[in-house]
Amino acid sequence: MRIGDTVPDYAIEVRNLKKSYGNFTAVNGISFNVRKGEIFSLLGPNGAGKTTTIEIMEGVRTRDSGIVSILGIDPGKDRKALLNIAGILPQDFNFINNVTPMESLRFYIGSMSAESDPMELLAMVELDDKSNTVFEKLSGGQKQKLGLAMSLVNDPEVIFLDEPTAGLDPISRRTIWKVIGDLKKRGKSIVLTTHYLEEAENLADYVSIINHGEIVANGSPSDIVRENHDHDTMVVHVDDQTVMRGIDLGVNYTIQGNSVTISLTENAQFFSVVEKFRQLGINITDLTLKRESLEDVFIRMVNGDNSNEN
Amino acid sequence: MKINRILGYFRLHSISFLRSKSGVFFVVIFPLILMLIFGSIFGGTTSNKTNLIVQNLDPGQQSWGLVNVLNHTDLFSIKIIGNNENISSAASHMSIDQGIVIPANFTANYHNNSIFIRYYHNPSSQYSSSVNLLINNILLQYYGGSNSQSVKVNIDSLPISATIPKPVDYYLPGLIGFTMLNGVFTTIYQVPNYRQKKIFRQLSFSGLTKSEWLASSTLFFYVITLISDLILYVVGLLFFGIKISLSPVNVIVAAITIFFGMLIFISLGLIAGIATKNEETASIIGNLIFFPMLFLSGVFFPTSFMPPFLLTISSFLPLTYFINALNSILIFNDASSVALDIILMGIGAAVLFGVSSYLASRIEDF
Repeated sequence: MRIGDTVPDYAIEVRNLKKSYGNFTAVNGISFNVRKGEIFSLLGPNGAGKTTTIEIMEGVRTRDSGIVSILGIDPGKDRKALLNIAGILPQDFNFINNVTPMESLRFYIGSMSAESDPMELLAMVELDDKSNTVFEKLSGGQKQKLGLAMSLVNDPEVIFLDEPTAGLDPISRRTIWKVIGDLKKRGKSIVLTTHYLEEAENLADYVSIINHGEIVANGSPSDIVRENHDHDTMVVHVDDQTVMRGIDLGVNYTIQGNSVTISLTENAQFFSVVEKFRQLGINITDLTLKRESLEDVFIRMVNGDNSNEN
Repeated sequence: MKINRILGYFRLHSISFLRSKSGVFFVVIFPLILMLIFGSIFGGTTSNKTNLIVQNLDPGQQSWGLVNVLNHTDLFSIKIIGNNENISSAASHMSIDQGIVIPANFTANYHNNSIFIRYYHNPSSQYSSSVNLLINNILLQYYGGSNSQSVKVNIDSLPISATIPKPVDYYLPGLIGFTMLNGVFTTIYQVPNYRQKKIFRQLSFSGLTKSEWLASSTLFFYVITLISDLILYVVGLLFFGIKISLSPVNVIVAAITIFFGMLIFISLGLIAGIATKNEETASIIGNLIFFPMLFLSGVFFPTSFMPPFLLTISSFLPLTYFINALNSILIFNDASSVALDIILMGIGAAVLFGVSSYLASRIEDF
């Protein structure tokens, strides 16, 4: 149970999940929960175990041990029941080359005995103008949108999205983000894996960072950043870099051209540095403050890189 | 298994197939082109004149001497049949429109200075009188000329009571077999392609099961084969007056034969496709299955024209039994004689389909 949850209302529960391929341990006893109506993001570098975990939840892959429950269904035991309540967009979505999005959706609707309107689904993902274009002639983004539409055919309660925007242009990515946001508004529970930390930061309510098959951090994106905060970065542009020589700012900094990059470990240091510049009579032509992002924390966590620059 | 999912995938597969230029070309258009080419070349002619069936009912030396003489003239390709066989049936099955029967008392008659043979021929053939004359002259030369003993030669000329098919008639069963082989190719390519692109996994998300996919694919190949075969028949009929026996019994037995054949070939395609890792390997295995069967199973000419060692190889190829059965049903109007072929094909189909179903059940992610 998550901290603060008194009456848990989880759509997904994963307990001590383990999976190995020969001698390689892909998932090593991970546990997490996904609340109903929440966007949960599983983050990690390539080979961390994200796809193995999501595929076990989708019932595509078997697990070695552990408990997995999707709205009370064990995907390893009753995949048929799972497919009635879950929508799945796999990594590198692909389909039959010579069929159109409309035909693909009609096949899905018929197979699942669903009542969706294929045109509505295509309009939702902004693919209605390509309804009669064969799959092989769709762009990467259009294919991914079709995959998303196909995952929604049965109006699922739980949706698994494995890297849904990988390799897409910014416009297609925004379209998919909008659809994901709309699904959350409709109360759907969503599991999202992504390489784009910005995506998780913008969309996810709760994040688990996985590395070498183990979860190394849990929480909302802002909680993770706050709890693992190391330093913010202040960049100051000055008229003349020569005036910076030998100056002690009381913090670590580096100089490149007329630009000074300063590492701030506490908020108060910002004001003290600005005051120092004023006292020394150094003219600041530009100043930006970059707060540490989820991506910065993520990179540090998975690389074990905590070094300070100077 | 749910019928709506089977039919749904059948529809999707059909759409995909009809939009695939290469698929339509090799399964429908190419056999049609072969039919038109071979029909144009051979459609108006009868069977090879130099083929001659010989049935020797005489145990004596003289009769075998006669067979050797005929053989050594290099004018005939001798096909010897057993004493209990019916020459007309043999003529039909071998597509040879002439033959001789050497009677049981041939050697005894020879010693009485009078020999007699029966010459069976196709009265509608313009060559039969020439062949009759040729055989007569050979007998006269051998028995009446060089030998010291002068023997009176009699040839009794009788019409062969068989429907001798034109070569083009043989192409229909052969080309039906050809369309089956293309089904093998399509399946061999599809399985590694779907596996590599993870399309099987995607299909499984729709609820489609492996057994439903297999049932749907089998149904698709059966229907596409029947449609392709119907087109071939209509074109053959319209352009070359192809003659096949389409009695209700023949149609049912032919449909069963095609069903078993289709099961065998789709299973072969599946087994090879599942065993291969990629499309390149699938291509090599496909060619290894395709070409020996294409040339050694009677697709383009009856297997009876093959030398013995090729006949032995041919007897191991399932397409041989398929084409033999279809020849008997459609060309010789002899559905009753194909029971063994159909039983063998049925057993082969059950075994291969069982193996392919088992292997299909092990396809990852599906």
